[in-house]
Amino acid sequence: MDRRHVGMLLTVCDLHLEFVGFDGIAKVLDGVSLRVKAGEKVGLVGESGCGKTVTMKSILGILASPPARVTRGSILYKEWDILKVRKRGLPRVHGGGMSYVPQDPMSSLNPVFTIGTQMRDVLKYADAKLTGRRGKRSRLVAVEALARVQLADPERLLKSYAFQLSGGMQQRVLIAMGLLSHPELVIADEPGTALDVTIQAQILEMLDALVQEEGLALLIITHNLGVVNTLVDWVYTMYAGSIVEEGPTAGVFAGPAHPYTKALIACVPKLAGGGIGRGIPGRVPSYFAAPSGCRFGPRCVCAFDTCGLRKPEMTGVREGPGHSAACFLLEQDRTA
Amino acid sequence: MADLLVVANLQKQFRVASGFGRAGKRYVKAVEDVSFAVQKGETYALVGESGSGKTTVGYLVQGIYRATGGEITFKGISISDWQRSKGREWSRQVQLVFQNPGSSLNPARTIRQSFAVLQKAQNIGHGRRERETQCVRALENVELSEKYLYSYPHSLSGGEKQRVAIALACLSAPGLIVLDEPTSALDVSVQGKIIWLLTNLQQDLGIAYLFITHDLSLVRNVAGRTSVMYLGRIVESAETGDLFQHPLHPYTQALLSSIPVISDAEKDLLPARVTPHGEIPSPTDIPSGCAFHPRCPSAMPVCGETLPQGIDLGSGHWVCCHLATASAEPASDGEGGNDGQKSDVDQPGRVERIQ
Repeated sequence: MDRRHVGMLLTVCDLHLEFVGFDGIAKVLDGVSLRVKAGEKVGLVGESGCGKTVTMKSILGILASPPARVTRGSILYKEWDILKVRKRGLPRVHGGGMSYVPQDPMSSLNPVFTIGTQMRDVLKYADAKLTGRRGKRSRLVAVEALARVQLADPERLLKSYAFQLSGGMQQRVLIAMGLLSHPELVIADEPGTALDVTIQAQILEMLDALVQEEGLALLIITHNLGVVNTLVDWVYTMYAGSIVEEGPTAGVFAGPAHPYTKALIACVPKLAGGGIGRGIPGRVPSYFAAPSGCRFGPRCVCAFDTCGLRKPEMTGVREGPGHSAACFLLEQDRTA
Repeated sequence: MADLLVVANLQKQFRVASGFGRAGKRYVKAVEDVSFAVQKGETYALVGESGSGKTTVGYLVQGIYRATGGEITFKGISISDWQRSKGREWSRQVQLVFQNPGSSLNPARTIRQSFAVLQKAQNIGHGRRERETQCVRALENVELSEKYLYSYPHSLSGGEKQRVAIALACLSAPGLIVLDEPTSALDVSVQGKIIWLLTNLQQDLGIAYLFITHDLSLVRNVAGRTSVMYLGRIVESAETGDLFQHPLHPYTQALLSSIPVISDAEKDLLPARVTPHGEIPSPTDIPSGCAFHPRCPSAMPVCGETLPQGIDLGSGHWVCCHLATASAEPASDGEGGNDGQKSDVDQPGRVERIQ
C-alpha cells in the first residue's frame, strides 16, 4: 500500500484520465491528487467544466469505461484500490462506507417510485440482513434516517413520490439516503446550491451537524466559494483537470496563492458593495487541445514564458502549514 | 426625476385546473399587491426566494402576462394604452433577458438570423445594409466580434450566449430591460464580465434595469434600490445600502443572514442569524395575515390575523411588518410580547457599530 495513504481515508494520487471520442482524445484529468482524512470536511472548488465531477465519478468508480480511460495514478479508499476493484466488487466498496449525495435533488429521485421503495433499494445494497424479513426492519431504519434529517412525518413521506416534495425536502431525502449505509465518507455534489439561500443555509447547517455527530468525512464538490468557506476545513482548488491550490480553508481564503484562486475569490460579489470585478477573461480550455505547461497560463494575468513550457509543481506557501499551490511565481519566490 | 416605470397595486392570479368533482375555481395568487417605481437609467432589484412571484412581476411588466389587477404605467402612459395604440413600440421600449441563455436563443438559427427576426418583428432599421451594421454594432456593445454573427448558439459558451441575448435586448434602444436572473446560470468568473457590460450599457444608453434575482450579494453591488418579495407581496424596500445595513423585516434578516460569505469581515456585515421555520408555502394557499408569520421567528398573535400596514420610515425605507409598525408608534408600546422583538429590530444598529 502507498506510503501516502497511511492514516488517510481516501487518497487520490496523480490521477490522469482521458476520454476517447470521435474527435480525438480529451485529456481531462491531468494529475489530480487529493486526500481526505477520517472525520475531515474537504471541499473541491472550481468553475464548471474544470473536471470536478469527473474526479468525483472516478472516485466513486461510476465512470463508463470506455470512453473514460485512466492513464496514470491511483485511487485508494481504505483498503481498496478503486481502479482495480472489478465492477462487481464496487457495491462492496460503497457498502463499505462510501456514499454519494447527488447534485440536483429534483432529477436525482426517481419520479415513478415512492421514497420508501427507493430507500429500501439503497438498504438492499447497504445491508442485506435488513431487507430479508419482508422489509419490516428496513422500514424502521428508513423512518429513523428521515427523522435524522429533520423531516416531519417520515411515515407519510415513505409513501409519497418525489414530485410531492419541495426542493429542500428532496435534498434532505437524498442526504438521508446517503447516510443509510452508515458511511465513513460522504461525497456531496453541489449540496444545496440548487435551492434558495435560506433553505441552503438550513441544509448546510444540518449536514455539518450530522457530520460532526457521526464523525463522518465529507467531500463536497461545488463552485460556490461561500459554501466552501462556511462548511469545510480543507479546500482544493481545481482548474482544467489539475489541483492548483490546496490548504486549510481559512488560510486559502485569507491569502490565496495561485492566480486562479485569487481571481476566483475576486469574482465573488462583496457584501460591502463597491462593484464587482470583471471576472476571468477567456474560458476553460478545450481538453482536446489543452494548453501545454500550466493550463491556466493563457488566462493568467501574471503569466510569463516559463508557464507555457512545463507544468508547475505544488510548492508550499511560506505562511500557513499545508498550504501549497502549483504556480511558478511561488517557485521563483522560493528560490529568490 | 420623473419615474420611468410605475407599478401600482399589481395583481396576477393564475387559474388552476380544478380536478374532477372538485367544486369551485382555485387560483394561484402569484402576485398579490406589488407597487414600485423605476427611474430612468437606474437599476432596481427585486429579490426573493423562488415562488415569491418576482419573475411573474417581470413578465407582467414586459407584457407577456396580462395583469389581473393594478396598473403599470411607462413614461406616464398605461401599458394597456401602449399596447392598444402602438404594440410594437411597447415591445421596443421594454425588453427582457431570460435566465438561461442556452434555452432562450433559437438553436436552429444563427445569431444573425436571430437578429433578423427581431428586426423584422419590431421594425428596426431600414434596408439590408443598415440592419447589418446595427447587428455588428450591437455585438460590439457586448464585446463580441463580427464573426459571431454567423455562428450557432451551440458553438458559444454560456457567457457568450448571454452576451448575445443582451445584445438582442439592446437592439431596439429600449428604455427598460427586465433582467430575469441574468447570471444565475453562469459561473462567477463569467458573471463579473456580464455585470460589467450591463453597467457600461446602462451608462452609455441610459437604460433602466429591473433586476430580478435571488443572489443578494450581487444585488448589493449592482442595484440602487431593492425590494424584497415574499409570496406575491413586497415586504421591504429601500436603498440597497440601507437595506443591507438596517434590514427591518424578519424575512429580509433571514435572507441576509443566510448568505454564504467568503470572509469573516463579511460575516460581520450580516445581521445575526435568523432561521425561518420550514419552507416557503405554496401560493395556492397563502397564510392569513402576514404571509411570513408561520415561518417567522418573532411572530406575534396579531401577525396571523391582520395584514400589516406598510410604513415609510423616511429616506425611502419602506417596510410591511407589525414589528416595525409597533416600534414606530410609541402609543401601542404596552404589548407584552414586544420587548423580545424590539431587540431584533435593534440588531442592525449593532452591525453598524462593527463597521
